[in-house]
Amino acid sequence: MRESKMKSIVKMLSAGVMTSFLVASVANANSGGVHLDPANIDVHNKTSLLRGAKNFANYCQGCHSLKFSRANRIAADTGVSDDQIKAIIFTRDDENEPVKPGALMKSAIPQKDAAKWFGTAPPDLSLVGRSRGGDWIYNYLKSFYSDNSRPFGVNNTVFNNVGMPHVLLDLQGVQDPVYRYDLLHHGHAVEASFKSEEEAKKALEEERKFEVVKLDLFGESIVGAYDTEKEAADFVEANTTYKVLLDKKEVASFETKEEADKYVDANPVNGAKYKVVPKSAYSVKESHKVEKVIDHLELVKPGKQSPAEYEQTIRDLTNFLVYVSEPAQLNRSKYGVFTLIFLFIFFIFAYFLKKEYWKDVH
Amino acid sequence: MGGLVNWIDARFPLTKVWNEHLAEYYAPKNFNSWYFFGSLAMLVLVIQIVTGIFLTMHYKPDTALAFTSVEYIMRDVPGGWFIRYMHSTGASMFFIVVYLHMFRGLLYGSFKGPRELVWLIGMAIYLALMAEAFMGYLLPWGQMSFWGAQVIINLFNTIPYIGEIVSQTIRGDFVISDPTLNRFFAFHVIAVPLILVGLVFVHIVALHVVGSNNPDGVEIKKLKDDKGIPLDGIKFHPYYSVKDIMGVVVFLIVFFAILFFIPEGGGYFLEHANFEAANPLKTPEHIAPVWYFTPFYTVLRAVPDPWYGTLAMFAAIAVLFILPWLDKNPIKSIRYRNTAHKINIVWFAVFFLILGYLGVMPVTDFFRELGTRATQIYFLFFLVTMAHSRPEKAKYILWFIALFALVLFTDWLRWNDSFTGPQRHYFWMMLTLPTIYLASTLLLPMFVSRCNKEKEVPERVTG
Repeated sequence: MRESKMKSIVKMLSAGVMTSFLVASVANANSGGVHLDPANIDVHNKTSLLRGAKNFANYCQGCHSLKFSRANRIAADTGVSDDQIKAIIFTRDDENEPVKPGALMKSAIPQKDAAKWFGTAPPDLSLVGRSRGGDWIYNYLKSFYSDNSRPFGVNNTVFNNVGMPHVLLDLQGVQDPVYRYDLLHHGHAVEASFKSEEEAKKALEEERKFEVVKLDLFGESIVGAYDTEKEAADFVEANTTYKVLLDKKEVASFETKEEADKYVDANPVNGAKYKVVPKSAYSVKESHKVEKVIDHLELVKPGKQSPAEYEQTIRDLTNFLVYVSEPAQLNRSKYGVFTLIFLFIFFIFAYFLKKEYWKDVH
Repeated sequence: MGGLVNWIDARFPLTKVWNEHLAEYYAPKNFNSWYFFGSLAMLVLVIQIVTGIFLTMHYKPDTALAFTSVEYIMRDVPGGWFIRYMHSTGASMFFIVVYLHMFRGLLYGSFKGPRELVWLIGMAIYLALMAEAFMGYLLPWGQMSFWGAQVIINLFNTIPYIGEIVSQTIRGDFVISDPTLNRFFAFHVIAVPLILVGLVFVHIVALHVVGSNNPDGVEIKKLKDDKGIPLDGIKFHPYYSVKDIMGVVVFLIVFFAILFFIPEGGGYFLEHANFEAANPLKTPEHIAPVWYFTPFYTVLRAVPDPWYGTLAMFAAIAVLFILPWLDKNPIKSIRYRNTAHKINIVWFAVFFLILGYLGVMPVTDFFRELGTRATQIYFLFFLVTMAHSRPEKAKYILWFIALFALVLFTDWLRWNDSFTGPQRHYFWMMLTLPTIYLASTLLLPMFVSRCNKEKEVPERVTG
């Protein structure tokens, strides 16, 4: 008995390091949360930026500000004039005049009212391209689906229970979720997927075992598997003792709860409290469970745009938001190329200068 | 020209200083690439001060304006983004350069006599640098600025009896707010830079008294020619000044490649969450300090009790100070030390990186246990270093038993009956790490005499 235990420990320790690194890399790959498709944007595509800016002004700026950005900067960076960019300025200043192209891009609705209407104030989006990233924005904008339990009738697979309504609904159309039922083994490994809940439940009935798990010094191990919960519970019950605590100190221990309760009744004490607690190294866990997940979204009612057109619309919006989060990125890499070319040439000179000076060092 | 120099020399020791520290300062002729990082650290210090001055012209230390003023610098100030990226990239590069500079000292025993004071002053610089970076990180007033500072300042809360007072004094308020930002700004732009520059000056003066170490760990001052010039020494200027230009150019290639092409450094130099303004009502899902603090952050998280965790974190830094009195081996350079010592250094580097990696990751059962084991190995390194001080006479078996017992003792202290199945599993599984570590550094040289053999240190430098 003892020898086999030692053996198992040694085996565990030696195999452990390798498997643990495997587990770690798998866990790491999943830590990103939802899967994001690449946005495939190009901030140097000026037409795309302008389309994105136009759509932002039309669909987003009612609620979301770009409080660090100015329309005339967007104009300059996309190669249009200040007069032309006025075409997408719909907000008005305190005098009820259209805001000037050089002004910061505020939203149309007051923040306080917005917070009341949507549960949370719509955030400023100047930097969302940097805090969330382009891929996130792109996937978020295409992942709204109808959900009648939400105040605006929509939910989002990328941002669960988001407070925002689907403002692009008339462009995209209505998406319904298509569910999938995963049969999970020990909480994570997917053994099978089913289209209907009935099939999944049937498979669960067949596969599921009630496992008696023993917790000892070295971790958990499965010591028995039963078809019914009752059998497993009976096993645990048979291996459970009941401790009687008097002011947190153990005074007695019994095989059953009745005996423990009897002891408590038979030995009344003044000013102190008894407590009966079960003590067992065993617990029951179900080997399989069914998890309902959204497999994909299905367009059930087409909008004004075809799916391809809609993809382009949100790609332009994403492109614009990524650009606006750091306008300097349009020129950054250009300066970088020249700087590095200069430094590489400089290095050749520095190298030969050093070589020349060091000729007489032996 | 000569007249002007004479005029100054009569009033200020210009020629004398020039000669003592550059033209007639003799440095060993065998410096390798590790020796670039000292001068590079000075370069980055200058970059940080100059760009810092320009940032200060546009930055506003006010909780209502700070975040906006940084975005104003990024968008509306001509060239502002370039200055800001110089400063943010410079901060991370400062730590990369300083970590490599310190590791160089570890490799070649530069901290050993007669350079103990150079090492101590250097450690003081490192400490000041961490304070400088920590306070600077609050200034952009982003989510990570706020919540990172929150975590660190709350550590002082755990000090028994006076914790509240200490943390309130640091914040200047009951919460992190405008007074906190203002005093951090004052410390970041005036107090700590003054201390840093002063310490760097003293670091170099002390170094030039004892002379530079080198990859062979040979004291070049022992062998001099009849003019009193070290046989293996060459003038710092022009030899090392032209060589350092080369190092500077390579460094700038890396520096500007990051600055122009990946200024966010993959979310490590500029954290993504920090592009959201500080919001005291919204705790981020995952708070990670900037990468250069993460090894010590993991040490903090490895200890279940917050106060002892704080102590462990500071101890992890403090123990570096006393390194010259732990490693008493007369051989300086790793080149002539035994194999066990080399293995020890590799382990230390690897586990320092692992500690750093874990500090940016969310805590899982697996990572928590790995962090704890890495912390144990981090501290064991210094004790094993003591054991390697006299390899010929070392009683390795006693060291092994004592240090393994120490590991088990700390494990016994942290063991909790509420550990879940996986936690227990990882606990025992990863006990292999300190076991392998101690076996490879203490039992290996005992059983394989080849791994305990030290080489003879040459009279003169090689190469």
